[in-house]
Amino acid sequence: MSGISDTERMITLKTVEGTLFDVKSSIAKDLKTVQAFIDDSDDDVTSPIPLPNVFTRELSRILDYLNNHHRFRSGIEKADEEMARYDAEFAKSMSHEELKALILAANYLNVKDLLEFLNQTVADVIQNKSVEFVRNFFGIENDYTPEEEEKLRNENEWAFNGVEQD
Amino acid sequence: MNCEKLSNPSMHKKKKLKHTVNKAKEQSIMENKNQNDKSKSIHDILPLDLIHIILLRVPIRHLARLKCVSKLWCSLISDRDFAELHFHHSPAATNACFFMKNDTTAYLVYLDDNDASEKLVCPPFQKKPPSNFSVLGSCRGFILFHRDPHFLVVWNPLTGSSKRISYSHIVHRSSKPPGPRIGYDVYLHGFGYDASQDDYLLLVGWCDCEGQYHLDCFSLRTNSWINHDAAVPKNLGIQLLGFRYWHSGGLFFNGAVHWAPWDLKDYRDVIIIFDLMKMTFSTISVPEQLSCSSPSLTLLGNCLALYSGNDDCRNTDIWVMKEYKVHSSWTLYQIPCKDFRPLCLSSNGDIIGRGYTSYDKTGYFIYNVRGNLLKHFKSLCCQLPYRERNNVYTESLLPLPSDIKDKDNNKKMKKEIGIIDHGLASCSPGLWCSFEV
Repeated sequence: MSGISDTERMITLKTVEGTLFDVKSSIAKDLKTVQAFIDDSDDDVTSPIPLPNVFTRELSRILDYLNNHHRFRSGIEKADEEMARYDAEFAKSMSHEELKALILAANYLNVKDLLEFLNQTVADVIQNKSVEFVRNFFGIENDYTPEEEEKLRNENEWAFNGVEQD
Repeated sequence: MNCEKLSNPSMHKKKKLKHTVNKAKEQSIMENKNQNDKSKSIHDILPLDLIHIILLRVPIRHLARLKCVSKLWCSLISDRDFAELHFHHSPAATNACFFMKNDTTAYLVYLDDNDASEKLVCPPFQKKPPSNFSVLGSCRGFILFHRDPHFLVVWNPLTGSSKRISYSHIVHRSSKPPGPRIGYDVYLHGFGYDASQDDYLLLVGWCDCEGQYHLDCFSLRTNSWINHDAAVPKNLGIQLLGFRYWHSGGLFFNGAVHWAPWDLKDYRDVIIIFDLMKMTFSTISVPEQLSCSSPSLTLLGNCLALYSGNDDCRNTDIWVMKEYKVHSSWTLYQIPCKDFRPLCLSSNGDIIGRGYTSYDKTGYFIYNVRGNLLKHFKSLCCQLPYRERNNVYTESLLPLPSDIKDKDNNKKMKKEIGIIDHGLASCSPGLWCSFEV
């Protein structure tokens, strides 16, 4: 391709619900799963790429995040501060269910930076919470018998001090 | 005075972590891609590899509790490889300050930008120890105690695993200094890790009745003593051989144990180093402008640091060796606080430490590198004992070599020395935890 490209190529993505999103190819590069699909295709991809595991709400959030981060990075000063502020707001705006759904979507689409940020957010959320809270959050069933659990808690009794109330 | 910022090593770890977990990620991508289309509900459970990655970002002290979530989580957290990965690559802060409150209880204090939180832990002594003991040093999440008259105890507060080693065979042969003296000062102690052998080593340097200096080393992996007299420097002058005059315990860093002497003037202004892989001694010289003759040695932001009160007694000088073994990289930071003991760096590279407020109360202070006070929070009930050194240690869930192999012998030995086994964690057969009260 020559160096003159005024209009960036647009890629169309289709979510589970059938919603179409037009995405700049520079943004699509951050969706590594999508990029791999494009790279694998022999011809130029013209029809919408279906994303059978991604819902509209999640894709919308992911694109929002990526668009903003691209914008910050192309700006010159104070990008770090603005990004940090945006990230904090972004994390706060989601419920725990939404956070989990977003991680799954980001994982599927292989959006590295966002995934790292979300993983850290979840780690921050769970670190000082009770065991029951963590089970609820991840939808995990307790497979300990009451006796086993009692014993394990006693062994690690000191670790249960200072835990936040649910 | 230099105002260059100190860098917090956990920032570097963040980058390393990205790289390390890529492989796990690739696999999960492929699995997800190949997954059949199913309608995803928001209650879908996160895949295990994501949980693994998330747990790597949770500070270690919270992980013990999370073992109770489920058996799968327990085995994930107890896994040796997970402990190694977490120790080396987790960006979560892992530094804790260890204070002995009294003979049977201790505190782990976690300092960060805003607060000091503490947890009570119990050292592995079945009942009140009959003799004096003190903290000598730490390595990879293990704390080394010395118990009079001739015991060394290695203990990981977070897993509870511990081991007691006696060096009575040395005590009988070593010369005794005249006059009353605390036992362990007569010996040079060191504690470190040899990565090439995956072994923890305890060093005891001593002098026999003929005035000959010896170095003995206990390997936790082989459970045996090895003699390293050949390593003792003979031609470096009599000054370096005065083992009893070096701060006992040493500081383990970069694969070597480091000691600073009681009095620099007698020892040609050096820090002595023993490399645990090469088994050789060497020295680093201290900055010429160091005004105090008996500074304390510590680690700040993954750099060696010497600190001492200034001549005018109002400031504390902290010299940080920004580049290991590069003499010209010694950089001075002055803190306008009397008797300030730097403990660790905050995530911003500010210096957190203990000092004295008015009325002889201790407290925690955060200073930036220019010496401006950023924060002060009240101290806890612990008073810093006079002899205490190196009480900041890096937490880990790593096991002792003896925990992995030879489980039964260990159990027997523990019963012999009076440490009660509270039972095995029900998850991982290879690793067991015991917690003494």
